[in-house]
Amino acid sequence: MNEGAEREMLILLANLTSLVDSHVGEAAADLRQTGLILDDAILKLNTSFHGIHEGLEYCLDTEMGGQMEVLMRHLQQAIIGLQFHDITTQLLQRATARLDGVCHILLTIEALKSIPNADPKPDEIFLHLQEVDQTLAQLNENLQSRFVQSLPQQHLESGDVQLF
Amino acid sequence: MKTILAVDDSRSLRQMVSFTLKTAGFNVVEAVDGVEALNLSKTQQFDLVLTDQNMPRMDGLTLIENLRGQLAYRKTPILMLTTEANDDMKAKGRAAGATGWLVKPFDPERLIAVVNKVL
Repeated sequence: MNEGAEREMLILLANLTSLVDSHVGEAAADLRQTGLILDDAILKLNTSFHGIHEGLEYCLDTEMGGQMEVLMRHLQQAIIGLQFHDITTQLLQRATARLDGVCHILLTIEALKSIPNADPKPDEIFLHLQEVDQTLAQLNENLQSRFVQSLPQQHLESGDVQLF
Repeated sequence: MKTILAVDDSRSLRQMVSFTLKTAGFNVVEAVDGVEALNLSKTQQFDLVLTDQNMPRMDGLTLIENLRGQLAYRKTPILMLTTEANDDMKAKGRAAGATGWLVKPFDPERLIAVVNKVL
């Protein structure tokens, strides 16, 4: 590869990191906003939930008493449903941590994009790109190791119970 | 009245657990993580501990190991309530001294049944 092409590759790397960093930052901001809205929605749902429960208890001895079994089942399903806050919060935290990790990788690669030698020979450029690639692989492995297990929940049916 | 210590860094989850168990006639004390739970365990005797796994400062497995190290909690039922469902984690929980493993989200009726069974 000639000098011009090699320099162009380095410029491409720099542009790539800048572009990805910009989009990753926007995605992270969207996740944070989703978390805030989620927290607010749960606060409101919790208030409504407790209000409904108090109302049901008050109606226990009235003509609604016959419907209590049906209403209590709905209440139990609401308890299961409201737990989505805990699960989705974990998913948001994982996504945010992954994006932060990608930003860190991009910054590290950005710092490595410059070759110390002002007038490098082709083999120096090649070795430098190799070093960048190896650093990228190690950083990726470090980031991946933080997310060993994925969250299994795909829906909100209640989970398994096992007594030892 | 039996007293249960509910440990989870999620406030909404603690509220759901507390609501469910109080409705069933239990007294419930809440802790935000393993450190708070451990401190509470030294000043108050709980009849059962229900703990999450992934929490700041001290996770569930570490909490269980510390509790089992206390004479007063050698035989106290300790249940894990967590999103973790893989067999490796369950084996670690069992080795640490957990009495049982419940995967979130919990069904209120099943939770009450399990709690009554182990108490």
